[in-house]
Amino acid sequence: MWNLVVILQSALSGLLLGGVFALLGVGFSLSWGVMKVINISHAAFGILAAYIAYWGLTLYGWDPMLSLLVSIPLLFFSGLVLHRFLIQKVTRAREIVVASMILTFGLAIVLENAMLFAWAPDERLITTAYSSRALFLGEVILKVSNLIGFGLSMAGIGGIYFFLYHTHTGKAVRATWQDPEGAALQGIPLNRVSMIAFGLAIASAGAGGVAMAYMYSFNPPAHNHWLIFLFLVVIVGGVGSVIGTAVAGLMIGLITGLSGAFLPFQWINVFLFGLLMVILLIKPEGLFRK
Amino acid sequence: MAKTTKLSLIGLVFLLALFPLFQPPIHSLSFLFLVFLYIILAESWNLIGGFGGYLSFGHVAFFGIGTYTSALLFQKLGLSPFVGAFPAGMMAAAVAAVIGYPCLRLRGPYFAVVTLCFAFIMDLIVKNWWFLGGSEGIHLKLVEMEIRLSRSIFYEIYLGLAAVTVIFVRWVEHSKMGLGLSAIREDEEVAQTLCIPTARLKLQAFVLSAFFPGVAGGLYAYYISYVHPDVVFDISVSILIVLMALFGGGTSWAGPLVGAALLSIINELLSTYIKPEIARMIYGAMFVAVILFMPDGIVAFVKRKRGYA
Amino acid sequence: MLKGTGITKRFGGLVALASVDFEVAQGSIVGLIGPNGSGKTTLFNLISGFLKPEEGQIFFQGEAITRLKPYEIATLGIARTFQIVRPLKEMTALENVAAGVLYGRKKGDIAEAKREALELLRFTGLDSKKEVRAGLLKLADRKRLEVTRALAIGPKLLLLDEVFAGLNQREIDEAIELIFRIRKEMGITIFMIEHVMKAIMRTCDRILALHFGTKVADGPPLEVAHSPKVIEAYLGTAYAEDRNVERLLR
Repeated sequence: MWNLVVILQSALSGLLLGGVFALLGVGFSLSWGVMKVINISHAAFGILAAYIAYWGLTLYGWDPMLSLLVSIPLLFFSGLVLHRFLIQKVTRAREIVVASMILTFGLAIVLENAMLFAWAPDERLITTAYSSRALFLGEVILKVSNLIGFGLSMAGIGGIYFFLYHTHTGKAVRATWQDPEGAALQGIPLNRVSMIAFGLAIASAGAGGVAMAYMYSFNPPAHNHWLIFLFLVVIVGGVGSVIGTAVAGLMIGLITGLSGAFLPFQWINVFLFGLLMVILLIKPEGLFRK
Repeated sequence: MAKTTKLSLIGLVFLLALFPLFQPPIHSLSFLFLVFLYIILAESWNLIGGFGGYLSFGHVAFFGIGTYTSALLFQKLGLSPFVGAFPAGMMAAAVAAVIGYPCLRLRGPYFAVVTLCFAFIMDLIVKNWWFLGGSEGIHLKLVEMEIRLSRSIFYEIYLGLAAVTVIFVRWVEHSKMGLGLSAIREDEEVAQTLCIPTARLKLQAFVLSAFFPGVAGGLYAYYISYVHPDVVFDISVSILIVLMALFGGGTSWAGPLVGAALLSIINELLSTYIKPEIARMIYGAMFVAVILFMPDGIVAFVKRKRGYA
Repeated sequence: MLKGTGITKRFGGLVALASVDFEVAQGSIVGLIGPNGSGKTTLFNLISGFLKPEEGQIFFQGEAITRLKPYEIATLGIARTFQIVRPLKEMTALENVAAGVLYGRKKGDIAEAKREALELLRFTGLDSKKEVRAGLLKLADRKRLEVTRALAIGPKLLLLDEVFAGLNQREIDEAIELIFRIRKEMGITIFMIEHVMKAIMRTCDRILALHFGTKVADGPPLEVAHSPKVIEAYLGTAYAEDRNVERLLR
């Protein structure tokens, strides 16, 4: 059991998974922190992008990365529309966070069942030509598809970081998050900025979904399972903090992987949920709050 | 409450009580039984959720705790679930007291997530602990009874329990506790400046809100006779409770009642006549619609339309 | 009645209050002035228990209240209003006040609490609005409600945080009248933060001035108004308009 190879293997695959958690988490965190929207449908959009990748591959032979050319703009646009027509109506409600949770929960149900209706509950797996290939570090096996998923996630996070820190709109988003009133006084159009940020968040969910699909099989209800991890990552990393959430994602992935090596399968989830509860009760602002 | 409303409600309860005598299809008895169950769950949830403003997303755990407590009391001690329902409620209340104390220090979404975690953990612990039957569940060998009779009996019991819960919640709403909880919900810091012992009051509301689901769970063990975590710790029930209470409107006793009844009926109609996935899509769309157009719930919406400010 | 010694409050690297001593005598009306960011509301938050000081102690009627919870401090008899009014929006004006009466004066009966609440609303002139949802009241009435609610708990000390802000001259005069009546008819001591100089000069027996978290003046209004440190702190702001203090006090 204390086999070093097993431990290393679990840690590394966990870390790769953590990359996906990080990307999904960052988008989720952006939505929550900046727009005060807890987007329960975040993971569901990820699954949608995963399906687009799957069908692109199965029907037309597209590489899943190519499908992103379709899903990213599609999801970004969906995010814009959703924010403009649904979420903005809700930001006037008494408790934005609660209202947004219920709204996006309804949305998630619609999305999940639309996909169920269209594509059935069968588990799908993305198998490309290189899916069976693997990298060998000594006795440790790293599947190429997992590495690609990880790479995609890192690219996604890099993209978000670049947007937030090196583009005009991105800086406006950060200003809005830190001080909405001040930002408004500066002439920043809050609604438009939030719309774009939300579109970006949804698009990143799409990238995350495809990245996840490289590693695991999926079906419409899977988003519920991912959602728990999203909450864990965001709360540990601190809502709204890009770097904090990214690091938290990697950490959670690592912990998940390692616990797979030490704990019986059924207890992994108990451990993770227990961890989330403990963190919430001790330090709800997250471990990395700036 | 207006005289007419009071009379019509009493009349309704009376009619419902007589309903089984007309030999209706058994399915309708089971359906109404579930409606009563959701009324009990949503109404008692409202004490902490709607009145207090602390949305517990893990409330089904108290129902499950109640079910398991009474099932175990029967299995190990031979205690009839009718008697065991009360200790079941107390057990749920006790657990609520223990986890409520640290959890209620969290605000808004964090409280929601931590209570959700709690429900998940309870589900997983029960599934994996041999003492509680594990994923096999617990089989209760009970008295043989003709199914219509047994369904009718449980129907009446749950109707009674639902009525008691509604009356109790209404009483709290108009009591000192109710005013204190409203203040906490509106602005907890201001409530503190009004000498309201917020931590204590929240905990009281949380414990009370767990008791009724616990009792209902205790009786439920007898009803289904096979207790399994997937059924009694079902997270979607937890979320549904919240939605039902908010759908009807959280700030009054009538909201969860209306929400639970309406949503159950709509759900039943949809799933009978339409494909399940489409039905659920409509369900989801309804939540979006209600949040957009009736954010304070249906009861408040109707009241406003009728001219009550 | 209220005393603070060596109060220091830090927020990370920022020092909001540095070793401040203050005292409010029973039955007096004491003012607290200072430019924005000088630590006035922070001091109120410390007194009412929402914040804890890094150093120093606060005493109320001889008892140390530094470490108490906000609701415990309220129960001891310190009431406060907030700079940006915080009405309990979905509840009526009457319910807002009744909540305070119920819990603050340890009543058990809601009907009785509502009766006393109505009396208080009459005292502050809000009784005609008693059934109006607090969120729908206009600003001046919200401020009145805020004060009525504070009175509801039967306090011995009332902390008023910028009650005059946003009011027109007539409303300010009415508010000053109300403050005097509160002291005279209810025997309540008042500690108030204000920016509106004319009003505070007229109302207070004594004024404390803060600047960047330190106390720069403490004495009768005229003395504080002439203090060079205070004038320096307010360079160029509204005080410039109030140069002729004698005229203010007539």
